[in-house]
Amino acid sequence: MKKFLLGTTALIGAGMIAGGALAADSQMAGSSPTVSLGGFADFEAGWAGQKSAYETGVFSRAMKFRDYNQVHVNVNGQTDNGIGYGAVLQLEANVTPDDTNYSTGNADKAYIFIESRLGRLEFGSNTDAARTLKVDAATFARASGGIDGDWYHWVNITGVAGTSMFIVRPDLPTAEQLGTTAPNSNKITYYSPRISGFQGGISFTPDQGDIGTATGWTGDMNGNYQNVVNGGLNYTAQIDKVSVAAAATGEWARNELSAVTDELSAYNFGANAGFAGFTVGGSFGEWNHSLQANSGAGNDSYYWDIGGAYETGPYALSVTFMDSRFASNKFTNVSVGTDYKLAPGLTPFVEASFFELKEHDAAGTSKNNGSVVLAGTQLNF
Amino acid sequence: MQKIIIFPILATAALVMLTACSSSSVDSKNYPQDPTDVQQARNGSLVANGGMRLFGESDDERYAAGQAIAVNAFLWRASLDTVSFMPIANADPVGGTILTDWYENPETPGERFKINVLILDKKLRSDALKVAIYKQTLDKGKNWRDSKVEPKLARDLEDKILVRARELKIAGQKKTG
Repeated sequence: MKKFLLGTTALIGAGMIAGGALAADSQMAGSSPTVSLGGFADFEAGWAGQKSAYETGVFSRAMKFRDYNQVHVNVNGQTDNGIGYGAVLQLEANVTPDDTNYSTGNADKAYIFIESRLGRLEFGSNTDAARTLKVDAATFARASGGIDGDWYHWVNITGVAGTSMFIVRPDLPTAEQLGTTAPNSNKITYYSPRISGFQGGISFTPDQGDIGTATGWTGDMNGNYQNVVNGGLNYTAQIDKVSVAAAATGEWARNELSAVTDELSAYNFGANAGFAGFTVGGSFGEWNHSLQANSGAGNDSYYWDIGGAYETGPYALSVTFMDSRFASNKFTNVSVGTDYKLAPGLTPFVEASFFELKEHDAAGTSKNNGSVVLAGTQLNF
Repeated sequence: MQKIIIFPILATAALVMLTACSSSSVDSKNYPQDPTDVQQARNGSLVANGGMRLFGESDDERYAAGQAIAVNAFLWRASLDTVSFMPIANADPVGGTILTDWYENPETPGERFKINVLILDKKLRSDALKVAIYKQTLDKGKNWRDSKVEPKLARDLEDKILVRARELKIAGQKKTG
């Protein structure tokens, strides 16, 4: 009987593998496109405490509620010879204009794609390859996203005069400039298939000021970075019970007003490791003189991040830390968050972030520090 | 100026190469997304299958299309995949029956088996599948005699078919994003 079990199991296994291959080949060739509707509806209640000198304008109130919503339309099809194609439209569904991404139109992202076994091409307003391929502490941060989460909406991060710049998210310059046209500017991106754990990607953006339709064009001398190339290489592996991920990303470009603003030159290295529900990792990003005046003065900008997370069943907890310097302005943030998968797509969370922004300009040095506590829920559909 | 010209040319060349090479298993989920979208996806979705389908065929409908299958197509295909190492005596996709012929494994001479698979529903559910295994052994007079089969064997085979059917369904869902 044992011999039969072993023999049958082996033969069944071989039969399944052979049958599986046949099934895949005959399964989806030439299917008509499908159009799916999804999205999310998020709500957050937040309380922020910061230095009184910074509590101006919208920051004069400590406790505020926020909702953020999108409707996603996904088109997917496959040609008779197996070429995949489709489109992604992430439509704004907010009562007021988007506070996270630049959008004076109706969508956050809008792009089409084509893919085959040689890779995937994306065309349109979408995130660049350096951001999608990166690996850092924010990769596994929970709640609203930890050091890459929503805390900053409650904090004055532009200084007393509203003109200072800090690196407040673990990103290269293009992606870090949330709220501008740069992150989702019109671009073409190529991703390779993942081969032996490695996957590469590269994006080209003619003008980081151009986004969406022709009404979003900005011309040639507006101080945007032009002919931007960014991309990276990502590696993932499972070694016994340990999962490993690592990435190297970078971006380069010259400014339209190169005599005024220094060139875009930045790179990042990061790695994560996971075991038995625990994940640890971090990254280092070097900005050089990106986004700074082309005066030759000023410090190089950089950031680094580190963190850990633990997930068990529907519960998850993460602690993430970030430190950065943009020219002479320094920033640190530690964020602790926890979330609970109440139901598929329904994840309430609580998150506390403790930050310090130290700006140094001609007027001297001033500091804003404080904390943000968020409680909310993410609803995905 | 050179950079302005070169990249569109390279992109066009990449597009031609991509479309020239077909694939039977393109999968959008193999490609990276914005970390914010990844975080959203990690929390799951109230609606299965990547969102509410507005237009286009469902997974089951598409999979069964052109195959004239009146029972659950994933169970049908998974059953064929699982028992195809044995000779198939009869396979009826309308009635949902797969009957193998007697099969003697060369590694275990003197024993032979026959499997009947019954698919009872159009839905992919565990109680829509029934497997019966028959065993005969060769006696000293070289005659085949019916022998007792442990019920666990049939349950194990049902589990394998259900797992395979689930894999086929998931593979079909991934193709539709």
